[in-house]
Amino acid sequence: MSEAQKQAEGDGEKATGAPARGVVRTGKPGGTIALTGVNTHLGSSLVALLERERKWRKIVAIDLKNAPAAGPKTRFYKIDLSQPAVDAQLAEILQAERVDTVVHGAFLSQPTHATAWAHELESVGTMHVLNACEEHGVSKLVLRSTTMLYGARPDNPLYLTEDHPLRGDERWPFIGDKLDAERQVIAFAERRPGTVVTVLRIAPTLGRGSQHYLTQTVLGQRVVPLILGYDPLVQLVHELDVVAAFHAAINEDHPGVFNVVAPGVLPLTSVLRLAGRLEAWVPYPVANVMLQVLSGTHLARSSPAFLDYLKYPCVASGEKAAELLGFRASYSTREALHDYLRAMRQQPNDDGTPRGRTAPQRRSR
Amino acid sequence: MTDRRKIKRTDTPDTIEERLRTVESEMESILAEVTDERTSVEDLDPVRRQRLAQVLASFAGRMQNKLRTIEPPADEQVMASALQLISPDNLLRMYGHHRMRHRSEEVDDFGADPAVEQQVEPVVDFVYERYFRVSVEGMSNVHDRGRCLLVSNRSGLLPWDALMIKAAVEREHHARRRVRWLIEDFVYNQPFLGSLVSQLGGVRACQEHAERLLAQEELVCVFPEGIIGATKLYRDRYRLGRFGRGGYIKLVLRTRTPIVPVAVIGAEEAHPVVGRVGVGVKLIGLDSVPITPTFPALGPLGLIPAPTKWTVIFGEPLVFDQGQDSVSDLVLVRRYNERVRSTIQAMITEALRRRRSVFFG
Repeated sequence: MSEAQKQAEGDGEKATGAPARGVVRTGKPGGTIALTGVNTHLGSSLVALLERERKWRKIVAIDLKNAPAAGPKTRFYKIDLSQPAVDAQLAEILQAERVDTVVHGAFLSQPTHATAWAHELESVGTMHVLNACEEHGVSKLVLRSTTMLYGARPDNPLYLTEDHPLRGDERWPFIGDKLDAERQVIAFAERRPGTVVTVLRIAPTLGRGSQHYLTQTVLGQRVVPLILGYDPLVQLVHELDVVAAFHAAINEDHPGVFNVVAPGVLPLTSVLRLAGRLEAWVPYPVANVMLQVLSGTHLARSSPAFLDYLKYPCVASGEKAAELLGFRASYSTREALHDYLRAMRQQPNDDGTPRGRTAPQRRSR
Repeated sequence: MTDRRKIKRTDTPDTIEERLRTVESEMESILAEVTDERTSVEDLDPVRRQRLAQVLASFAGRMQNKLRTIEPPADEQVMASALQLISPDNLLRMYGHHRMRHRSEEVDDFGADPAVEQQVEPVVDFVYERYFRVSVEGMSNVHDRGRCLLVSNRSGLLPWDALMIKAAVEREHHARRRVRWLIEDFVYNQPFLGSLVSQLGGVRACQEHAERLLAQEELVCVFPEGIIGATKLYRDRYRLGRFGRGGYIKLVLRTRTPIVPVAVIGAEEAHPVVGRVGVGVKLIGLDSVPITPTFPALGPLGLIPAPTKWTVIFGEPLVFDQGQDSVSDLVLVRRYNERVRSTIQAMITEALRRRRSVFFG
C-alpha cells in the first residue's frame, strides 16, 4: 500500500517538471478543484500532485471511494453519478466548496454487461456533471476521453488529427456512451464560451496502475487471439504521460480537444513478441461469430466491434498537444511497453515474493 | 534477497525460533494497538495508516534480516533461479525475442521496417539483376534531396514494378534514396498484404499520408492507374488507362512538389493478361480474376512472371507551380493530369520504338 503510494507520489514529482515551458499560468491562486473518478490511477495521481501545489486551496474528490493518495487538502464526497437527481447534489457541492475547475474522469475502463448502468454512469453521469457546472458556473472543465472514439476503420489515415470525425462504433455501448459524453461536453463548450473546456483524448494507456481495455486484453493473457492476416500499427502511451497532460490542462488554460499520445507506433504482433505472448490467429468471420456468441452469453465482455481495433489502425497525432498544450510524451510507444513489462516482472507481490508472471491480473501465490 | 550471506552457524534452530516468537508477539501488540477499534485498514485516516505502514515496514525489514540468517543453501537458490528460467512466461518471452530477430523494434511512422527490407534484399537483388535484368535511364532526373513525386505506369499483376522502381533508385541513384509507394486501399486492405507491404515501405494511398511523407521530404511513388492498370488486357498493353481523378495533381499543387514521370517497360509482358473472369469471384471480394497463360492453370506457380527484359526510365521533372488557389481549379487539375499522362505515354512509345526484343531488350 505505502509502496504504491510512494510510487504514485514519486511519479507525480517527475511529471510536474514536464509541462509549463514558458506558458503563463493563468489559473487563479487559491482555487478549488473538483475531480470525479478519483479512485483511478489518473485521479489519484492528480490528487497527489495537486496536494503539493500551493495554487490549489482545496481538492474536492468525487467518487464512490476516496483516492488512495488523498491528503489534508482533499475533501471526499461519496457520490454515485449513476443515481438520478445527482446533479442537484453536485451543484450544491460545487456551490458550497466554490469550485472553479472540474475534471471529469469518471468513466469505465472496461466494457461491462451492465450496459444500462454503464449508460447511466457515463452518458447520463456526464449530463449530471454538466448540469451542475452550468448551474454553478465553473471557469474550467477538463474531460477525459479516449482515442478509441475515432474508431478503427480501414480508411483511417494514420495520425488522426483532432478535427477528424469520431467514427467509433456507436452500437457498442462501451464506445457509444463515451461518444455521447464527449458530444455533450462539446455542446456545453459551445453554449458557454466563457468556460475553458478541454477534452483530452488518451491513447491506450500502459502502466502498473492503470489498465486500459485494449492493452489489458492484448497483454493480460499468454495466448492472444488476433485476426488472421491483419497486423495494425498500434500506439500506446505511458500512464505518467497521461497524468502530465492532465496536469498541464488543469494548470494552464487551453480550450479545445487534444490527443494525448506517445510518439512512435509498433505493429501489434511486435508488441506481442516483445511482451512474450503467443498469437492465436483466428479468421475474422470465425472471431466475429465467436465473440457474438460469447458476448451474448456474457462469457466475454468484448463486442464484435472490438475486432476492428485488431484489424485496422486507430492512431492519433499528438502535434496539436505538443504545439498548444506543450505536452510531449516522455515515453515513446516502445519505451512505454518496455517500462510496463519491466515493472510487471519486477514488481513484487504484496507478500514480498517476486511476481512470477508478467500478466497483471494473475498473481502467483 | 540477492545478498547471499553465509548462514550463521552459531544460530541453532531453537534460538531462531525463540527470536521469531518474540517478534511475533511484538507484532501482535502493535497491530492490536493500531487497529484498536476499527476493523479495516482502509478506514484508518491517512496519518494513522502511514504510521501503520511505517511500523509494518520496519517490522518487514527486521523480518528480512532474520530470514537472511535462515536462507536456503546456495544450491537451492540456484535451483530456484534455474526453475524460473524454464517458467512458461520466461520461455514465452525468450521465444518472443527469438521471433523479433528478423524485425526491428523501432519502425518508422508508417511501419516500414529496415530489418524486413534487409531480409528480402537478396530476393530483390536476384530479380533485379538476373531475372528482369533491369536497365535504368535518366536517373539524374531524380534530385539528391527534397520532396519528389514519382508518377509511373502500372503494369503486371503483381507489384514487381513498384519493387523494381524502389530497387532502381536504391541501387543506381548516387544518393541511394529510399522510395515510399502509395498503395490503393483495395490492395492495402487485403489480408496479409497490408502488413507486409507496409513493412517494405508501402503506405495506404490517401491525401493525409502523402502530405505527411512529402513534408518529411521523402521520395514518393504513385501509380495513378491503380488496380485497373494491373489487370488490363494484353492487347491494351502500354496504353495508359485513366489517371484517377487527379488527386496526385492536387497534392502536388498544394505541397509544391516536382513530379518525375516514370515509364516501366517490360512488366506488361511479364504477366500477359489474356482475359478476365467475373463470374463467381464476387464471393471473395474481387471484381474479376485475370487469366494469364499460366494463371490460374498452374496454380500459384503460374504467378511466376515471365523473364522479360525491363527498362525503367525516369523523365525530366515537371513542376506545376500555380500556388494554392489552383487546387480548386478542376480544369487546371485535369489539364495537368493529362499532361503527365501524355508525357509518360510518350516516354513509353519512344522506348518501345527502340526496343528490339521483349526478352533481350
